Amino acid sequence: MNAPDGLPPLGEERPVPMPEVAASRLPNGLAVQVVPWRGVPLASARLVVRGGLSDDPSGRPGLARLLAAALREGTASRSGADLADLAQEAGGDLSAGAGPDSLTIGAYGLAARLPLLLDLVADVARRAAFPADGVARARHLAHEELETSESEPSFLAVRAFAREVYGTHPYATIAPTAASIDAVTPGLLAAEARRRLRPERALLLVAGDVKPEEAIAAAGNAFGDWAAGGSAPPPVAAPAPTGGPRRILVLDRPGSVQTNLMVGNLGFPRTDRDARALELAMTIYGGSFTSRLVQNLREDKGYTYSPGAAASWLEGCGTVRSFAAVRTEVTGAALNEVLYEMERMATTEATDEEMDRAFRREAGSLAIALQTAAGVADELARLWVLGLSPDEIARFVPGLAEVTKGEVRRVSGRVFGTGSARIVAVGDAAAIRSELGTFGEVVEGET
Amino acid sequence: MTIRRQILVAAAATALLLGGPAAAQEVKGEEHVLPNGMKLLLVHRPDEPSVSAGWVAKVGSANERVGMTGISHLFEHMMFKGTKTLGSKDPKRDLEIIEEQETLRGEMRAEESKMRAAWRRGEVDDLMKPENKTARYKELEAKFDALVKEQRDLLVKNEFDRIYTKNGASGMNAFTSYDMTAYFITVPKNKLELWFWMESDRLKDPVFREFYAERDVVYEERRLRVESTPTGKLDEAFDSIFWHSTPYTWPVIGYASDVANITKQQADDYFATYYAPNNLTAVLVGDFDKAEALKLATEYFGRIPRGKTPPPEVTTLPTKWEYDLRFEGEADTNPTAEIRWRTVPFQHKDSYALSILAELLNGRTGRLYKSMVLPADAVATQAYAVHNGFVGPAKYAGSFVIGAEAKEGQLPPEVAAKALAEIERLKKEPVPADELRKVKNNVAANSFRRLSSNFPILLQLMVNEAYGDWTEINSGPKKLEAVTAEDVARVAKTYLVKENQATALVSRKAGSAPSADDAALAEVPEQVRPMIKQALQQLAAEKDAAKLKEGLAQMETQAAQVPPQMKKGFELLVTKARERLAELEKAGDKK
Repeated sequence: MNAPDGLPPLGEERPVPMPEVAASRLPNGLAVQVVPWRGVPLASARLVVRGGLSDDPSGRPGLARLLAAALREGTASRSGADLADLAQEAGGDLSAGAGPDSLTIGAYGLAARLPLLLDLVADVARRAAFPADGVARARHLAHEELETSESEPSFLAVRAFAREVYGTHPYATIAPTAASIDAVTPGLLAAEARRRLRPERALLLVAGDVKPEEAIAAAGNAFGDWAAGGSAPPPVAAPAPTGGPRRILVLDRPGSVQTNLMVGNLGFPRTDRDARALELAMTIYGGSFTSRLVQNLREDKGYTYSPGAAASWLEGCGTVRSFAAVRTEVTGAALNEVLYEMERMATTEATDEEMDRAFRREAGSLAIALQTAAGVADELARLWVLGLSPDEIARFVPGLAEVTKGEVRRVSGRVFGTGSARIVAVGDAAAIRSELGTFGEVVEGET
Repeated sequence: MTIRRQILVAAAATALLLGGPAAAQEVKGEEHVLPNGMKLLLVHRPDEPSVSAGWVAKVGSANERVGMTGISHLFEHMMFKGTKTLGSKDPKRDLEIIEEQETLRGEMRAEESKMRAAWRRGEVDDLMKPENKTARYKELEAKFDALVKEQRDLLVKNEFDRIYTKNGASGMNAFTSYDMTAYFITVPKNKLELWFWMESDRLKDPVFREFYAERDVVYEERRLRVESTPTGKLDEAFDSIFWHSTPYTWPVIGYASDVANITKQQADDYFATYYAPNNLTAVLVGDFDKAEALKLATEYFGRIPRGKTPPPEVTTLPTKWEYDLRFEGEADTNPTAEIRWRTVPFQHKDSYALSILAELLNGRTGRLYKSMVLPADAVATQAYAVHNGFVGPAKYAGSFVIGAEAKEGQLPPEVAAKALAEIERLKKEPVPADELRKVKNNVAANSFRRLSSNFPILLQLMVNEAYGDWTEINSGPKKLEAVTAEDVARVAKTYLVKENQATALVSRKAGSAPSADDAALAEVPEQVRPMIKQALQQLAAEKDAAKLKEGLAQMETQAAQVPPQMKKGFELLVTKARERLAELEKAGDKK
């Protein structure tokens, strides 16, 4: 493609600057990383603990989320309201959350109040008290969130897809159930907090207008005498491959004007040698506005406003999935195009232009993500959970530049096979059932 | 109480701390106006090696009218469709095709007019259905589709996006709201000229290719955001009631049939008026040379001619109503209550006190959470308060909103009453100094946070500029800091009154609560749970209001004698009986 008249010339790609990271480890095993960042007088402290939903005991789906929600409800010496007031007084807030592979407790505020921010995080991590009224409140909120989520077709599709791909593996759970919410008690949460929150499986990240040596000393004050009892949960196992023929799960949403489609399968861990090639493949396939899936489904056919695709990176093994909310009448036609684009990725090479564009987009996005302290901290937390060192930031773009078209095609062959794809369609079953039947075995499930 | 003292002392210290850095954080913008009327705002920040760049058109859905609602948002889509230079392999033939398409569309519109007349007479139902289209229309449609196909073969799809991406730019996007349409991107610092070239090209010589196909994409966006969500249509209806007699009464995305009927001629006229340089402000934030940027702006944006007619001023002023407007609906959602008041627009002298008032109520440390969510007899699981939300409607009128999601077993009217009680308390009792101090500290820390990198600064500057004054980014925090306890009580008494008030009560659609009773039952001691469960089932099946009323009265007289292990279950039964009675009485009223 020739450049349009008058277009200023394309400049050289500039390297992504590696942010300064001071790493240390306390004697109790707690890893500490500090990202000094000048500019505004703010700082954040977050404790990332390995194991999230993946650590939930069988029969207690989504417990990690309930645990995170109840953590802020009070500690041995402070009520939930006191914790919130103190965080506000430091000019910020206190948060807790759970993902598939981690639990996070964070606080942000004025840099001058870093000792208080660290004290709040440590207090919650080490001495959460799970008062009965706070736990009841967390349960109510969890019920409400679940009900709100269940009224959204996109949530139903994501939840069903995880179950289809992961089967009995803990990653099959993305949210608690009504029964598992009801079953939560203060005693259970206290035992889980003791079992999971331990220095040797945690990283403390401090980012902002702080001096590394001072931040590390403050971390020592807040966490130095933190010790865990009993044994830590084992690392997450790899999920079993799905195998078998293609399967289409239909969840009925009578009268729905759109069908939420989700198509995909297992991917692989981020430590795999093909990980960078997969990043590029996803950008070319469905991860950007000029990607094949968006061009085909939205721009060419006008079936949908929001098609896309993504690879999720999880410690055990993530997924590779395509998604789109399409008009009910074109459900079959849209699925046909998704499968076609997947096959095309797996069997033909990308063009030089696609490769170049995907590379520049990935490199540019990383450079911009690393322009704020919060962006750097997010990236470091992600890498740590996946078992990668901070140096990966500096290695990423040069590594990406070496990926060849052949590698992109090879990795596409690994993840875009449509023969055993798992497909979820949430929509008006009566209107879409028979059309979808032409693509494989249709199973109907409960929403 | 030790904790209270600790907060007081620390709060004073925080205030001192904020005094210094807050002043240092002033955004130093340099303003220029080009001869064609386009405004340029330059903010030099060497901290990051990139430039966040954008421009804002001072037009949004408030500038529309019924019949062409949604055109501002459709335009946001059209601006990515290319120019005379970008987007087509054969620009000459491409323009010819567009002409031919328009001729056909004119004939199709004449048929559409007949189809609408048939709809008014009740001869056909949904005009979108193929079987309801006239034979002539189908014939024209086939011809039109052939032209679309020919045009597609000439397209260089999304060349705009491709060029930016190739140059390492990221975050290209745009948004449309009631009062503005903004376009933005972050480019490496050595790609500034590219940005001027690309943006001036699409403002000077845009070509609205695939106009009718893009309408379909917007149609799908509407389905996704409004029609497929549990409360989308309900929210739209309440908005229209609350904002009646203001230019905010229709949705930004537009009414479905309006979006489907916007013509290219209307789009061309709209562009000529509202996207003329005299209605635009470009903003650059980041690491660049100011003299160089001004030179590039003059060279590239300077090429665009000034608009022939200035954009008409919006003259509609909100009328006052003199009653509490009520809106009730049912949806597949948790029961909620929301109360809104008409207040004041952007930069009104009372808007700062109203913002502080909202913060006193909002969040986990706010009064709504403390009175509605935390106590043992909580009525809600979440609560919020906001005054003129970010990019919300605020140029021509304002709104103060409080709301909550009901805790299981609570009804929306009770939740609304509890929330209103907090407003009444604010009118009567002055806010304690330490509470006000704490909230102001947090507001100040938040405004810092938004100044910590290029993109959020760009966003705020564009938004404030569209509302009327970009310097709000510097003056706003000072005015918020100056708000007193007396101001808070005064604005509550002035604006948060019945004459300005509208209440939306949304209850759950019958049969859509999978685990509602189970959740409440979980709190009942295990030994009595089966008994209570059975009683609840009987209650749900009860159809006789009079009988239920009698039973309820009896239960209430027994309340004091209930043994402790039965207390929770008894309370649940009473609550459910009241709910059931309310339902039966409501159903009775309708008959």
